[in-house]
Amino acid sequence: MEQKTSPVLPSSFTRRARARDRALRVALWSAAVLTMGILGVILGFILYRGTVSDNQRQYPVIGKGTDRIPIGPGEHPAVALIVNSGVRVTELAANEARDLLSGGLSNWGNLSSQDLPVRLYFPDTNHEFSEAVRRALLGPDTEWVSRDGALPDAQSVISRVAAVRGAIGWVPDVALAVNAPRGVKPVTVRTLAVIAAPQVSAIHEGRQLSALRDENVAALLSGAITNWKSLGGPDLPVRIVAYDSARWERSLIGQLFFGGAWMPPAGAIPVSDPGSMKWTVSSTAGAVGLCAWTDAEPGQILLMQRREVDRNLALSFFLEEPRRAGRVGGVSTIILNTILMLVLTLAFSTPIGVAAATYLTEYARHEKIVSVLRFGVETLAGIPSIIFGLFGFIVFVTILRLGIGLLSGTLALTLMVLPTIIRTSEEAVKSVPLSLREVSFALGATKWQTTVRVVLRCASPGILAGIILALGRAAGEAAVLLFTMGTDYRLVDGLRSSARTLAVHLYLLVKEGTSFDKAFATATVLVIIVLAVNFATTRLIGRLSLGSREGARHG
Amino acid sequence: MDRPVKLKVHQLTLAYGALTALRNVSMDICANRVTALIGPNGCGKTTFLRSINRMNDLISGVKIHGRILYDGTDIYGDCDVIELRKRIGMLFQKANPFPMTVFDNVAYGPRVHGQTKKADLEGIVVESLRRAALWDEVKDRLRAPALGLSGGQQQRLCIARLLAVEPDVILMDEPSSALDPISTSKIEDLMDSLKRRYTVIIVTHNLQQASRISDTTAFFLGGELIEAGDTRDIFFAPQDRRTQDYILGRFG
Repeated sequence: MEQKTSPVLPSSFTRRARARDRALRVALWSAAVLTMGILGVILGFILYRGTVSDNQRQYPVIGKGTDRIPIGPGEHPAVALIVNSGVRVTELAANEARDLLSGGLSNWGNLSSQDLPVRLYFPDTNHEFSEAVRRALLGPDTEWVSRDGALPDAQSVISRVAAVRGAIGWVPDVALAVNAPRGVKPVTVRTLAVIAAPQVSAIHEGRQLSALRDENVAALLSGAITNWKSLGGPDLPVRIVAYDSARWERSLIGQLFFGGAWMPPAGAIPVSDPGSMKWTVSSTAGAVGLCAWTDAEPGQILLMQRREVDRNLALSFFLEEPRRAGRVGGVSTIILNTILMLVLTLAFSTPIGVAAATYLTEYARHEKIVSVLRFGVETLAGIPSIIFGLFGFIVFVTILRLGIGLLSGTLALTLMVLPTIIRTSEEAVKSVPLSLREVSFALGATKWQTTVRVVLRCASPGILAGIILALGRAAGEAAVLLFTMGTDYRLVDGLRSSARTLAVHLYLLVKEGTSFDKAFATATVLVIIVLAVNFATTRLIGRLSLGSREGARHG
Repeated sequence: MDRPVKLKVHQLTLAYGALTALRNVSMDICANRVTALIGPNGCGKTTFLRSINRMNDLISGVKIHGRILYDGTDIYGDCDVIELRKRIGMLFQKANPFPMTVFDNVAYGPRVHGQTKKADLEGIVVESLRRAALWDEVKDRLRAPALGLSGGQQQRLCIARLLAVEPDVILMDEPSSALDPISTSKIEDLMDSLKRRYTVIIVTHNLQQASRISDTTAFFLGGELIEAGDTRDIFFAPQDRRTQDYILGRFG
């Protein structure tokens, strides 16, 4: 950008001009960087959360567990939970294990995104032993989901769990130690809960100790945290309540947090059984202790928070049908519904829109009527989409009795995108130079031939750009479709059949709290589709505008 | 004049609303000759040119009196304007190829007149490009975008597009005013060969060009035809003083 100083202009003038030029360049660059930054952050966030499931979850138990679940005092007998190796679960919180074994969860969907029914098998050799296991895993008042899975011995439990998809079972841990069984895998269970005195979790100066992390628990147990204030709680000294060294909970704490034995800090209150643990914790100010989740009072439990990172979007998400309200499976039918909806909407709106735009610019004579029409179109373009949804519901669904379905939805959507298509097409048609029309007439072409073969052809890149704009709006539209096209996530089987699109699916997944992971995966699919359409159409526009860039170079 | 008269203009008056652009113009234009229309800006020569193939019809508020007889037929009388424009083609000041391929540009005219057979179209395109002296330069680029050609090539492409509809008369409105001298000389050479088959009428501001290429010259001033005749006579022995002044560069 080296410029020769003009001899006529004073040097201060060129200096100022150069400074202004530099400032403008800096401003332009900042704007460009900012825009790309915002785009990158939005796309990056969606794509990251779409491909990686990264969640903060809260549990009533701590984040560490063992394969070996002690079931009581004395000689510390223990059991192991095993699942069929097709189940994508390696770890369970005690409450999840309870729900699986007692029938609260009858499908693996909520835990592993697999649509598999839960089947329970367990050995029924020693009634007393299996009662102890029931109390340890389910708590005193909860029963097994059924006793149909009761088998004569541990070996038959292992072979049934290995044979049945979605099977879960428990066996004495020694049964696994004999020979490594095939087709089953042990599941780590997180059994310990943190319980605290009621003041600890009370709202204090507008703040509340809402959830702990594993590192907080380790710090509490080692005596590093002496006041609840440092965890955001009330100004109250921490009092550790600890089981005596004979209890399995005490040795489990040592094993999980300290790699050996745990020596409670000085001033800890010793207790010897679950009953006195609960009583001591609730009656001592600032008290905290760890006990088995099945022994804890629900009101005493401090929730534990942990970050869970896993793979989210997989190829199967594109290929599988959604099941269980989208909690399980993919979005294949929803993708097809969306594409069908877009094709139908474009099939309705493009001919009408382009014809209207062409008529307005090429043929219409009555200036006043045209300006009224144009004002109407521009106003319609600015009306919020939900209004089109309401209008579509009243007119197409109710008055015309088309029902909530594909036809009503696409008609409402057509009304919404028509103004966009008309306005952009009008601009494109207007920008075709008069000289091209003239030369077409001079070659003996009629008005109609000129309009179709020259004007529309030359305007086609601009018209296509408008259609993409409309396509983008339609693809992202949920408000219009909720009232008019419905939310059925199965593949449509007719024009009247209700259909869910990706945007509506995304809205419902979040609104109904079904699954944030699936919502982000859906968002990723939506972004991929819109970007792919944009990219493809940009290429098409490049080919349609046949060398107009070269034309610009030649003047 | 021994040559047959192609166009006979009789007392043509043309007004855009209140503005009279042409006043009582009468003139004979001979077949297979190049007729140059000269005169200062706004003298009505382009208006005159455009009224020959009724391009002025496209402008609203134009009033025309008088007659133009094309091979004896009054073009403002009972005449098919589509057929007329097919017979009387026009080349514009600025090269204006369609943003299509070279081939599609030349084939546009035949196509709108119903020629759809691919083999016939190809024949017409090749022949037209040859006649426009462009074939050798574009024979390998028929499917390339026309806007990728140079300015001079684009103007010759426009000539080829014009020739493809088999006109009888070619109207040219300052066809080389936007071109460099080399491209201009190519167009001028082309005009010389074109007049063997066609009747050419050209508007030009370039007096040297008019004297080089035309057989007949007509001088317009203020919407009136001042003088028309053999080019040599107009340039070397003008009858009217105003013609002489213009030729000698005293105004305009």
